[in-house]
Amino acid sequence: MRRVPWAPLVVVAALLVPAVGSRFYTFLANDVIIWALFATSLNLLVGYTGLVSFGHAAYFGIGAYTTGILMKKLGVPFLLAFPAAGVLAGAFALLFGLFCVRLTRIYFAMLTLAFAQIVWAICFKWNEVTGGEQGMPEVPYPDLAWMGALPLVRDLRTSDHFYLVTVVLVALCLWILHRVVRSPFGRMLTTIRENAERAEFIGVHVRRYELAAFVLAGAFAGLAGGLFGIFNRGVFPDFAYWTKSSEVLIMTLLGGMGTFYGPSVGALALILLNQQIVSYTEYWPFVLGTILVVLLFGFPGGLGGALELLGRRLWRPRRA
Amino acid sequence: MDTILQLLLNGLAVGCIYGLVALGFVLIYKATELVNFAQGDLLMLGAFTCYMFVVWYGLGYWAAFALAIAIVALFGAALDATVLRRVIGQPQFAVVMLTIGLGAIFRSFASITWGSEIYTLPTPFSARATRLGGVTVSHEYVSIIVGTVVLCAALYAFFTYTRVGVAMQAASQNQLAAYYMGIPVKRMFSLIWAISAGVAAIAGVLLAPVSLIDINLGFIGLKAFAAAVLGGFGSIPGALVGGLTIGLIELFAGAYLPHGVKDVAAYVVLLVVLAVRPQGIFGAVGRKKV
Repeated sequence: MRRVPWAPLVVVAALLVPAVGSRFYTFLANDVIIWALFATSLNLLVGYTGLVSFGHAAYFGIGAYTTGILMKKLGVPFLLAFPAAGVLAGAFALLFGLFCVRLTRIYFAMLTLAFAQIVWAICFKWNEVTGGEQGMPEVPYPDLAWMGALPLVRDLRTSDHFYLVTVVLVALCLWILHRVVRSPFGRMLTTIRENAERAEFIGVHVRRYELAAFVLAGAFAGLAGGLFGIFNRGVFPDFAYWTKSSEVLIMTLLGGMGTFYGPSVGALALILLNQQIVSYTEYWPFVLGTILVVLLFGFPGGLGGALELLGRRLWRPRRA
Repeated sequence: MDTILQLLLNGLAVGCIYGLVALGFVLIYKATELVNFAQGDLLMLGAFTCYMFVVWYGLGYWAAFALAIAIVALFGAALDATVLRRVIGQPQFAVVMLTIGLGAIFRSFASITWGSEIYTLPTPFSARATRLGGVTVSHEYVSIIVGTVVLCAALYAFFTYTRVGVAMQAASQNQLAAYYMGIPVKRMFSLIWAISAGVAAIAGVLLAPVSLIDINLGFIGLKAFAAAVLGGFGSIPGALVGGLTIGLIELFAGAYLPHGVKDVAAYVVLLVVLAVRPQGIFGAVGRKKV
């Protein structure tokens, strides 16, 4: 049996959304796709390296502010401002990571949270640069006039053009991350997750690998943040707040940490659910809490794990 | 000088609350190796329960206080017996998310039951103060400090001198050995959850007159968690020292340092301490065998 090329199919389907769906669906899809990148970057730490970060939103926020400030205040083109988000977030991840990877388990989690809260407070108070509490509204869309000259997409709105750019960029980022976790480097991270001490015994420099994973995860979270700032039409301090960190952790858990695409599924599920339930009741946290509890008892592998299991059940009889 | 004394008093009181919540974290962690992120929300439930008895049903403050402690403690034990006992041994991350989920459920429950407004709890200490020299000693703050000292003394006596207390210590140190010695480990764990939840309820009721009651009162747990880590997660004196440290630093930072430093002071201190002593002030280095 040939494997179905899921990844290209999903990308193509995502690219078709503005053509077939309404403006609202494009908006939702854009939201999902950016969060999927954010959650997958976190999964590199939580799922593959076994480091639970409670402060991943810090890098998301740093990325968002980098792109936002560069594009709005300095007029830097998107082509430079977008990679800058990854570079700066990665640089901060390196700085913070140097402290964090010296610790393990709950202490590691706590220190990442501490750094994130500090980043948040700086964004919240530094009025001259970040706009402080008011944030920085009206981040401009990148200049996508060239898309007007292309066939097929010429008649779409600017927001749809930006959506298409997002899909391509996120697909590229996910492809790179996928390569990373399948590489010898990625395998080593899994070894460290399974047993850090044994990894050390066989000659692996555990801290250096953990730091590298931390920087990579931070950089990709920064890229996600850069996109989100533009998508959201503004950058606000709560991008770096701990509630964002817990939201992305919940997505990762919901989708399943064990699989590469799990967190993306989690992002999709959580955003759709939120959208649906908020229109019925104001007690969204109640529903979310219940989902978390049920999930942990029913599907410890998350939705991704459950889907994989389902897939295996469905395929097996044909193979036999 | 008077200002410093005033800040010292208020800082100690705030620190006591952090310390009590941190104590709850540590008790549960020592016994079951679970990190309970719903600790702050138990505090919130305690404050609301007391408020309900005082304002809705017109009970006296002390009776309402006692009832709130009892109800939240029972609730803690029930929580352990029904939900949390089943997740022992699962990855720590999963348990943390579970308790975060439970916390969200408690907050929604509170906003359904009591509404999402902001309430004040009338107490015998409210709006009363004694002047000692140049220092205004507000009775609310004194009640927090005295309450914490009495509670800690009681807990210390309980864990050191009673049979049940010693059995609980044994169960915390080594579950299997304790089980072989005939200690009902499961019941001990439920009891520890009850004590932990009760301590959180006490902290909530003590905090209520100083801060107002609303459904997000439990977010104080985040700072208390920093306090527990600062003291060395797993150390009971560490939790109290960590709580007092953070309480004092916050108040002094708020008074003498630029606006905004107060909010991050706790985390900056945590960062410095963990950079120098990765296991916290009183923490012991535990190494897992390969």
